[in-house]
Amino acid sequence: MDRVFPKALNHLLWMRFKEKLKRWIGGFQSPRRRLIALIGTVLGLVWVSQAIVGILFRKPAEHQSMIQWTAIGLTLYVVWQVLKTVTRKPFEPHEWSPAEKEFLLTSPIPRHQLITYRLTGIAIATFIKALFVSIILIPDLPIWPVGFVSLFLGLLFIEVFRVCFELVFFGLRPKLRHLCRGSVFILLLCPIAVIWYRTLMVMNEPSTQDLPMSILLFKSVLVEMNTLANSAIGIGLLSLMATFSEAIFTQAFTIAGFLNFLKILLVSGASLAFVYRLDQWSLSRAKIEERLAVGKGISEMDSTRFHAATKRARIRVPFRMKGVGAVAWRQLVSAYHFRMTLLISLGIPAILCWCPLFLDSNPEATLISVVGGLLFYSFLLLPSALVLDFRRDLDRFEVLKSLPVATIWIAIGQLAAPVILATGFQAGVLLVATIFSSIIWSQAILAGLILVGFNLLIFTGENLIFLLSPYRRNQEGLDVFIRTVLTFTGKGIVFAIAVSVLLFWATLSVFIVGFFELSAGWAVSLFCLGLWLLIGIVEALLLLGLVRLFDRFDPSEDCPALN
Amino acid sequence: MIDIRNFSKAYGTALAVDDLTFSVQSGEILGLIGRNGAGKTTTMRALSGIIPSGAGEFIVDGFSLSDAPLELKRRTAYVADDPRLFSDLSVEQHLKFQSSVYGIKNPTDEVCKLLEIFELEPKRHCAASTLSRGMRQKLAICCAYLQAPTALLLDEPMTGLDPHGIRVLKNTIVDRAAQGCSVIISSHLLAMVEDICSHILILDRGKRCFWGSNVEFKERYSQSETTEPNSLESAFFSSLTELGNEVASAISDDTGSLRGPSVDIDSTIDQ
Repeated sequence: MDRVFPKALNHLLWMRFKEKLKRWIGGFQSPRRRLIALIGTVLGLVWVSQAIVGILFRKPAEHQSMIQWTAIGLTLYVVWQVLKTVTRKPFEPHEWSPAEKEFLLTSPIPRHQLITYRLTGIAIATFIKALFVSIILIPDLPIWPVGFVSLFLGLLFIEVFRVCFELVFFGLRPKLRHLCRGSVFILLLCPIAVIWYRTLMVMNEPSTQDLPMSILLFKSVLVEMNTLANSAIGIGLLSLMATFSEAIFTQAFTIAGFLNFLKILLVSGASLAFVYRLDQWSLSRAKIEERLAVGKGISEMDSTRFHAATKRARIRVPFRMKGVGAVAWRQLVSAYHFRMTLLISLGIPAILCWCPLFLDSNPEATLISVVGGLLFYSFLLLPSALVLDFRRDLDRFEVLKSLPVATIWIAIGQLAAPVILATGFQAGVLLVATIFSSIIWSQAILAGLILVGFNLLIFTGENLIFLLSPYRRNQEGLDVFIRTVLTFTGKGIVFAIAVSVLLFWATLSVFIVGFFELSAGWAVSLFCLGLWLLIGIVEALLLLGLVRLFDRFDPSEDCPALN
Repeated sequence: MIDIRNFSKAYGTALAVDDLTFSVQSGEILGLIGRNGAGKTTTMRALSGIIPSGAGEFIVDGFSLSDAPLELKRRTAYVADDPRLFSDLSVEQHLKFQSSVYGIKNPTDEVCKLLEIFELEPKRHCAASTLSRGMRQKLAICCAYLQAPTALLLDEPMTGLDPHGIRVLKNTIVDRAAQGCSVIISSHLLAMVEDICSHILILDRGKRCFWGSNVEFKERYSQSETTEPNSLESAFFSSLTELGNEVASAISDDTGSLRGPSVDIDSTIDQ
């Protein structure tokens, strides 16, 4: 065992686990972190009770459909991992932390042992994820232990696949890497385009016209995904994950079941062994690339001469605007560096939001559907697509705090870039929708104005959560998983409360207008006025909270460790 | 002028700085010396408003950190030992950002001058993430100089710099001080401190052990015959035993028990 995995690395894993646990418990003891620990505990209890209720009272889902949807889900997870890898910048496989680079990569430990160390870390996190998911799936899993082990193997295979893909992607020549990136996007857009086209066809059928558009859209997408999954191409694409899925939902101990289990065990084992080979290949490729780069490197002299011509050009300073301008400009420069990634991550939701334009419906219904789509994607996707605020500046809080800019202006400057980009995206979608349909301009502008307030709420809320419990981006592990689950639960609760308040206010607006016997237009005006007021109050409270948290943030104590 | 009064800071239960008081007049260069963990960086970070201070008052040019934090920050520049730069911004964009934040209207000439003397001109359009350790340090120093501070705080500023960079930095620090800037340099390079610092502050376990002029320090502690006489280094080492004992007895008086062993550096070195 020592040959594969030396005692030192074994100890390191164990000590890191103990330290993480100690820090987590320490959070409950520190007066500064007690509030966040309390909120986390409450959210954790909500999530656990929800899971228990689901396990106890939920009827098991239909067996065949579970197999199919699990296979689709796992395949989509693979696609997500591929997409994540090809869009990541700057790129480096294995994601060694600075400490690991300094201590482990320089120590006399053979490369294969370091890879084993990395894979063990991944396996531990996957084991815990599989445990969580399989507990929730208790009613659906006929033989729980088999289901759990198969799920663990399935998730581990996907993680190992990601590592393999990263190694291959890293080993490619830069031109090939760009080609690979483009191919992935084209391959991804093809099924989306097919599903989109077919969904529109189904939605325009007279029998489906009675359903609300958003529900119809969601239902149609699911139906079309199912149809695609049952086609020859779909079966081919899902075949590997279907093997895992069948093993997860094995109903009895049969020879066929045993052989299937053996198959997934072999596939997972083989993928693990493949990592070592690919790592060697990727290292040798990196060496070749280095040699090529040295060969055709541009001399320092040339670049000096090039810059000498431009150095006397006048420097244009960004507008200060109490510091907001400078801080926002800095984030927008970063957004420019990631323009292609942003274009793609905003382009796909835009296409989906335009679906209702292809239906024969009245202008109000179309507007409601487009705005509904925008709200949904803005809530779900934009916060993770537009990380151009406090969330990407954890290591630069020192700089931000030393600036001669009031905290409120720093906070507004930090929020400006994502809010501007989100608003630009929504305005673009609404503009196209209004031009190509019979939506009334004034209504579209009104909706756009409400969406600005909504964007402010989303990004202020996201940053508030971040400052309450800061984390490092691209970090994996159990604590990240738990935080994601808790944040998602918290957001779900907030979303439910917000929808209830909106429904209550809409009903009240209609009642007030009816009581005073006014026209229907008054109800809309009253509703919008109340909505803006509500958004304004909540936004002000969130912003105050954000300012207070940033003021109290102590970079020497509150920054999470670099792994 | 920098004025720090009764500054204390604790991390959890550990006291990092204990009731520290000192001042730096205009044109003075103060060398902040002490062992690792003595509280040097904590003092500088608290003065520049990065970390909240537990107790005490920080004043720069009459502006207090508690009453007028923005005015104080406008006059203070802090260069960290490991500068945190914006990885996406280029060298020039960093200086643009700095100009915007500090309201510098036409920085072209100053930017060109700084880039030239710190040899960053060829890297003007390179992203900060592609710079070497020393170049990042130079860029951070350029950013600090660009804002024309009246209080300059430098934490281990020579780290990673090449010989030319060290010479330029030393000369520019002296120039800035001559123009009326109050400078605090935290460093373990005693020869450099001796070269350019007019005053010395020695910290040990968060407590002030010595604060006075360079000459006064050397006069008081230049008794050792083990190293070269009349140098700051010899004075420093001969002071350690005495100061170490003073701190130990001060801590002992405060708490009734000794918190850590007092180390006799001379005998340790001899051994």
